[in-house]
Amino acid sequence: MSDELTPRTVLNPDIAPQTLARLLRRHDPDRGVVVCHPVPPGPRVGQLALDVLHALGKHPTAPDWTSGRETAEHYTRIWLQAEQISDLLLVRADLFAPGPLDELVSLAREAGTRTWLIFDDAARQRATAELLKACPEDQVRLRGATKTRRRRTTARARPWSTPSPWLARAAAARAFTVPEFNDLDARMYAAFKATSAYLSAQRWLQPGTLERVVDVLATDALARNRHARLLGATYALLQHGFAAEIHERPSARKTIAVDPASRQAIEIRRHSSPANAALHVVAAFTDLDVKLLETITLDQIIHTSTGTYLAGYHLRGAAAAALRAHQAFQQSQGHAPSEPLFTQRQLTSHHGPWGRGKRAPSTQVEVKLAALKDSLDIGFPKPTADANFDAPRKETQEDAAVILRLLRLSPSRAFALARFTRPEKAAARRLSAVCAAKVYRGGIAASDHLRFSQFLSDTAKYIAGRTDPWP
Amino acid sequence: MAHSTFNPPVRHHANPPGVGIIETEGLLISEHALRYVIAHRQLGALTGVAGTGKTFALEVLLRERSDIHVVWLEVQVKPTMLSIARSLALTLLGEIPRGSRHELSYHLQDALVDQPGETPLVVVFDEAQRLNNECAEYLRYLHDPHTTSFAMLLAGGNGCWETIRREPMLHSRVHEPVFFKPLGEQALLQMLPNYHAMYEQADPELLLSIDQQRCHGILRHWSAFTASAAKHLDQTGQRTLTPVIAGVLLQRLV
Repeated sequence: MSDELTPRTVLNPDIAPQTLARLLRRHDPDRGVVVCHPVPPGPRVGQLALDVLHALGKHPTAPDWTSGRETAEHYTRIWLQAEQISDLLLVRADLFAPGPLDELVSLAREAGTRTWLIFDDAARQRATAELLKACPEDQVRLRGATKTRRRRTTARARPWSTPSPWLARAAAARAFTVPEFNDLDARMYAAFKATSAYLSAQRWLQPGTLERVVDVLATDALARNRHARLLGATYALLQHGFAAEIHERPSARKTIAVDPASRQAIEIRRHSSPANAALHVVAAFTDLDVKLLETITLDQIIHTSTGTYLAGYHLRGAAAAALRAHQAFQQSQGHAPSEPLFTQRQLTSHHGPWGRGKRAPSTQVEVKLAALKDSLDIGFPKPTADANFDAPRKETQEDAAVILRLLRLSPSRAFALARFTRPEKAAARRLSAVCAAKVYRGGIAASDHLRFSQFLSDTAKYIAGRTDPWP
Repeated sequence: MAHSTFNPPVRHHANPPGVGIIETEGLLISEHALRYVIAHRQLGALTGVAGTGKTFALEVLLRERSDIHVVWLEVQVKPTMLSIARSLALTLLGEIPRGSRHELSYHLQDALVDQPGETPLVVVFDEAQRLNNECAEYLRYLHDPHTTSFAMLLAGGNGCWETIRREPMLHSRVHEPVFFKPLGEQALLQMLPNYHAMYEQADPELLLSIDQQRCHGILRHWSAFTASAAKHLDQTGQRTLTPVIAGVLLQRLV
């Protein structure tokens, strides 16, 4: 057992109201301290987990309040961890038998929280300290705001040196180990799926909106993962019949800090269900609506030393805790990090209004778009692109056109190079130089690298068969 | 929190006609203690022998005060934490929220928060001698948190103070307990003329004799006696209590 998390017992022998009031005043979840004043247990055992949940701000009037013992314990563990509670003080511990106290201590320990049991009665204190192997102290010494915080990865974007934006996967295969490459694939696939779903639902594409969507779905702590997500989005655009160029803007992103006021924090903390708390935060403080939320995956919640980052918003305090709790809860329910941030059921249960956040963060990406003659498959609807889109470079458009033609071929067939126009031949040369296309006896066909239709089906199977969590 | 002013009828035992409110020592001390307890949201206690005027004093002192919100609860026989929580919720919130005792308690803690600009809340538990250990713990639970700030008054007859003393957590929190005692001879002779006109010209020896035989300084007994005497005097057309009437009544009432 870690010494830090060994439960402590303190005697409050004078049972003076002032002493108790002093202890209760130390309650400050924002600084990692929760003081639980439990309802006296009846003839049956008390519900300490419920008392801790209430101390954490959860309230029975909230529609997601739960009084079920197991759910309450599960929620308590998740919220203690999400709120980064370092010290949990239980006053009137003498009202409880050692059994429930032991359960509470174990639960808190699992969440990385140290428990302080405050007794009015010396004999009870001694007996419980012995049973729980707790450390008696003469007074409460809190660890304060020394919370265990994960540092955000600060790796900067390093675009891979590839001649064509479509072929990064081929280059990546040579640069990464198999597990790293698989991780990239998975993220690429997630972004592909999200972009494709978004495009299928649109009749009209506008630059600002599309940039925001791509920016949101490309959010990642690691630069290489972000790049992989952008590629996934690019592939999806190609499949829907667009030659796209996505650039990261050179200017630093201006994130929007969300630091809920105390009344807003109370409102967030009223929710017991992590999903409802997170939805409350998203609806109240961000511009994200259902469409945008559908593009975000669970692993896109990024933990920083001062809060949580989501789609251009830097959330702090109770707002950050709500998202941390939601992520932990979804993972505890078996949801993979590549799954959507919220399930359809969760989104449907929240009736909005969405996008109450007054400001939207500036987008970090710039999307240039040109419609190709056709999409990869007639099954993909092709929305109309707004005239305000800048056109990608000429080479990019040529590459995209050839790729689209190659991919529409069955794998065994090849185009006769003689049928290509001059710009198409130049594109074919560029593609074969990076092993994306195979040129053989006057014909050109897609290589395995380029056949990302194959890649996509492989990735889906691969993700379904994975048992180890993502890093 | 919208609330109506506490306004119970003046309840003299047996409801004798024409009686006034007499300022007993208990009433005066209670007034002083209540002022402090309400101002500082403390826990107060009014205890003493049954019939010495605790409930009466509380009702008189709290009646028609628009500057406070009085919630009056009579502790039932063999109370439980749940029964206390339910009756408090019903009186305070106007309904009993659904849920377990825990959930009810969380609602109550919220409702008991002292809101700025709102009139101070005074919760009275009458017949507090019926409280058991569990309920005493529960009252402490409701009153202790720094967020809930209200004055709590425990009033009870025989055994009430013993009940409070048995629970150190309550005992140590009671500010200036008021002990109601039977009236002494001197106090009785001073106060009875103000209580009813029939005692104004009555022989002091007679009054002391009645007290010795029947009333023992207890106001509830004096109230019952006064009700019977007033009826008798009304029938005979007399104004002052005489030894003859007193004798008849004492024989009848024994």
